[in-house]
Amino acid sequence: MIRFGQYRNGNSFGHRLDARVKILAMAALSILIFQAHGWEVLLLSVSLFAFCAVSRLKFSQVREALQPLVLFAVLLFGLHLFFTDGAVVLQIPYLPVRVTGEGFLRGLLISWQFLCLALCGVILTMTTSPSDLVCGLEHLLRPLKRLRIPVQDIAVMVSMALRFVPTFLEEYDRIKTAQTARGACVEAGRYDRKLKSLAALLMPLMTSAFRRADDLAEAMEARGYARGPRTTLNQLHFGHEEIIALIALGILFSFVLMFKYCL
Amino acid sequence: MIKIQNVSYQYDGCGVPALNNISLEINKGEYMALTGPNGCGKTTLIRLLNALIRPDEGIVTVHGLDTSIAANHKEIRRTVGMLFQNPDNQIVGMTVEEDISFGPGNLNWPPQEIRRQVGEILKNLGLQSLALRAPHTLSGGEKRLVSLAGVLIMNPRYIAFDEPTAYLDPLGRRRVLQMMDRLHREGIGIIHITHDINDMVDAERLLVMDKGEIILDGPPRDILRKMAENPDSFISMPPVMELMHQLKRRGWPLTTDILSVEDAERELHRLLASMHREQQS
Repeated sequence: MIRFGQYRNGNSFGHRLDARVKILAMAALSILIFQAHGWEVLLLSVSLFAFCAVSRLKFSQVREALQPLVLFAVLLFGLHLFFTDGAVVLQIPYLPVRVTGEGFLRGLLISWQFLCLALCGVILTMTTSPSDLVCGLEHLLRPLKRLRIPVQDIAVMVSMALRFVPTFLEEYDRIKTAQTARGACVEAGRYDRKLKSLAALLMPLMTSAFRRADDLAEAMEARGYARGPRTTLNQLHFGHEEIIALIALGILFSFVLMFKYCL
Repeated sequence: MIKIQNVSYQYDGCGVPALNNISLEINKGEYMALTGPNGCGKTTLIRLLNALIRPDEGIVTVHGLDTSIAANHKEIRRTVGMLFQNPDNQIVGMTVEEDISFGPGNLNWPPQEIRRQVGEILKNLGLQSLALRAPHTLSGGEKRLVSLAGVLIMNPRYIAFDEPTAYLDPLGRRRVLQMMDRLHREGIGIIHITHDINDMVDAERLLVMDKGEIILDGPPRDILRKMAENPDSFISMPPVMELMHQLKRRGWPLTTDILSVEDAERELHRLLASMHREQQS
């Protein structure tokens, strides 16, 4: 199953917060984090962790979600460590590789920024149910309706795609078992044979996906779906908590800008 | 009432018509079983009822509304609910409650009203504990009930079930059949596609189709008796019926009209009692 930042049910401040505010906040923070270079990074990191705390996310859960990305962060760190010009701290003998002090700091900063960016995403998906997320996005994108972009239809499409991810994973497993039973080398074997058996997996999967899509379209039609405006169960609410969150975000924003340009 | 008058229908690129000059009336609150070999047009017939397909020839009207007029479709789809063979392809929401709200959303009900009705229907079907579950975590029987809830919330007058008990374990099967029975008692017309003779026996009316035509239409017992005598019939006998037939062939004084375990029990009881009386006299 997909583990990366899966939604955890909860009723904390972070969970209750309007999805629109959360999306905006996380988008703003991820932009800010890459603009930051000095003390601002610390400030932003602290506020991200503070948000984790008010959302009652356990450290172990967050770490688990970020685990797959740590390797990337290490790679980023390594790249900057070895390929940045500056005062040489360490020259590795016989190899044209050297470590610079600037590289060390830069690598540390960039990989930390990367992890913070990932954390933004993880916080968003762990505290917001997919339905609310889609609903929030739909509301934020509403102005695009003026450009004749069918925002609501897109929202229905996105939520349906999310709904069918686990179904297709199950189907994939089923097909894999069926093909293995018939002698396809799905797991082991030479590279070219593996590639061939990949086709044996993907073709049936595609076929079934198209058949499902047909059935689904019919089922939706049978339940009265037509293009155009429709109402949804989940309503977003903009109350005191959202205002507080936005003010906090504004304060953070101005601090970061102040650090960056005034000091 | 749903009226089908001289309807023919042919799928694109298919040589033979799926339905051939069919006329049929389905009454309010009726429990109708529909059977026939695979590919005989059962599913096509029920797809006509809710305007998913429009007849090539003839007219289908639901409460007087013609299905070939697009402006009637919303009302028709509200009146006639459909449950497809595979509930996996019918559930569109990311959570159970969201899926149930899909139909009312399409009808533009206000959100508070949707919330209220969803709560009511969940309670009614005993699904409250599943409200926030993702569809892929449900069992087969639960999936059927969730897709049924999604149809029921629109307050339909008829529901067409396309093999609702396929792939279900006995418990899931029983739950779904009990639910259908309850809906029928509440006055909803049921159209039940099935291959299982046990499902047909208790229906009020049985329709048998073959090659796009209705070949038999009437009380299930009469039709099933006729079909039981025909060795080429596509219906497979339940074991109890088979047993009674064989006993009769051996000369036991039994009537052939035995379609269920209850019938068999009654008949054997009668026989044993009369044997007992003979011995005593």
